[in-house]
Amino acid sequence: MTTTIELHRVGGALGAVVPGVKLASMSDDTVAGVHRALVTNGVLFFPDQHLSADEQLALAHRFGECSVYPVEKMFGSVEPGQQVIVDDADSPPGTDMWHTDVSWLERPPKFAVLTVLEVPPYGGDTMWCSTQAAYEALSPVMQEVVGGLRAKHSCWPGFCEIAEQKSGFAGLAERIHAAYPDQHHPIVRTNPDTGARALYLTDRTVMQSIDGMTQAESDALLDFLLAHCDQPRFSVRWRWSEGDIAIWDERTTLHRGVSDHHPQRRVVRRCTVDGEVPA
Amino acid sequence: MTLTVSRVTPHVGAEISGLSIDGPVDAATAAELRRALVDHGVVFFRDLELDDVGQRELASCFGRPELFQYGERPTPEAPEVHVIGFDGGDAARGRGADTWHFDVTYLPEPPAGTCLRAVALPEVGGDTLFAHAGAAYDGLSVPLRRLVDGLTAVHEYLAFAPAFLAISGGDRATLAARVAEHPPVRHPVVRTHPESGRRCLFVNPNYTSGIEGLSVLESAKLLELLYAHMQQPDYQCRFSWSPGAVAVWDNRAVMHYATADYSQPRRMHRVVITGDRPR
Repeated sequence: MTTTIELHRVGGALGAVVPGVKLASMSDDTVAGVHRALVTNGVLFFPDQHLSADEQLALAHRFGECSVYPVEKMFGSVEPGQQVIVDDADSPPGTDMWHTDVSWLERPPKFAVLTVLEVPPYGGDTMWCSTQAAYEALSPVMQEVVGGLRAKHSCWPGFCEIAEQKSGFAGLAERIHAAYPDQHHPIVRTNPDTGARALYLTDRTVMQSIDGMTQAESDALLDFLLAHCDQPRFSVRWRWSEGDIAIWDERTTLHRGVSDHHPQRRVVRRCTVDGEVPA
Repeated sequence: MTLTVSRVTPHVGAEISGLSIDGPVDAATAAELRRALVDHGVVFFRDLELDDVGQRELASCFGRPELFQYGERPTPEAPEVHVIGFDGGDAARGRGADTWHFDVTYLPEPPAGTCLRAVALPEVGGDTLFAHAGAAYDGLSVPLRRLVDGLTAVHEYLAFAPAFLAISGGDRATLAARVAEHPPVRHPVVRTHPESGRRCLFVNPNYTSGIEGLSVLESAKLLELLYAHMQQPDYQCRFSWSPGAVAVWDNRAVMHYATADYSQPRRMHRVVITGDRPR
């Protein structure tokens, strides 16, 4: 028997605030309860946690294997890592489009854990969208059409080029792409934790085409699916307070970091939990 | 009275606390409220406990409440207060408010503002989103601003026909009467806010039927571009209602969207404030 977790639902399609859990000191029962709440609500918000970097990584580890950052993994690292992302006047925010994280991996992450270390006075919200609710709202005909399709997800050129520019290593882009070849994931995947079907999409720089279709056909269908997801009835918008932790299911949601705080400073820390091959 | 005004996002929205309404509001406080509305586009009150008479009093701080042509008027002493309701059912989709719009722009003098109060809410969902059309205008490139600056759009009830038919269950007779009652009007695509002097985009998919002087294709595509631009989360905030909460928005500068992600009854009381001819 698992603990029942107190939840306050945030949106009609997804999201819940969990007021009563101390993430740094959960019993195994509580972890099971949070896991269940997470996979059914898509994204959970935990106020007043104030976790250290080690505690955040340990938290992620309660839900599976913490991911090693792909570029570091390529160079042999086995240490799970966290990314600290600083937005300021010189480094503008860069995640303001709907996406799921690193879907160009063979086994993309299943969960992500995010906190905002420096919250601007206003602005810099994060939004999540339920691709499970979006899938369920498609007509049966469209569900059947997309149910049989796979899309190409590639780190090339977007991720590779940015990594090369940031690192200053000439040739890094090609090496990353060689280490992480294009993936062909189903457009509709089943969440193994719930059995629910959801659209598995990401931004168009990564999700480039549909297997077996022309580029024009791919563009029309993928753009339609993203536009369909991009409806307020499928999304929530979270306004951060210092100490908040958000954990979400990467398999059934999209997210985006609203960039309206630019050029104010905003610092986030994230890590992810390894997932399975999408199916 | 000491008011506290806290911004919600950089471009739009502020929460106001410290106001109490037990009779007419003094002129200084009303002026402060009015300034906050012009500065932020929409203001939110969480801690007022208003009845319909109190709501009219609050609305009158921002201008002259007017009688609205349609809708139930629950309180004879405050006939300006009318009901915007959904009685529950399969879903709240397609009620005409889950699109981005300014209120009633099919009139020659659309309302300057709207005051909306939550009387009965679904357990979860039914958020309202607001987008600042002045910030959106400022965010256009200079060549595009120059293009839209000189344009005039046609607004008419007829553009709302598909939504009206969906809401009314196909009541074509009433639709025809309303269309006849409201002949097309012309509004500038960019209006200058009469109080702030700020230039704001002023087209919306509910009531704008086209742009004068352009071909049908040009008009449709330009409007599509403007709507996509205005609908970016950067220009928005999202308000989750609580019982009794009130939002007042500046209908000359801010468009809004009522999320239809619920199926339980939702009852809102509304007062519209007299506006002027957009120029």
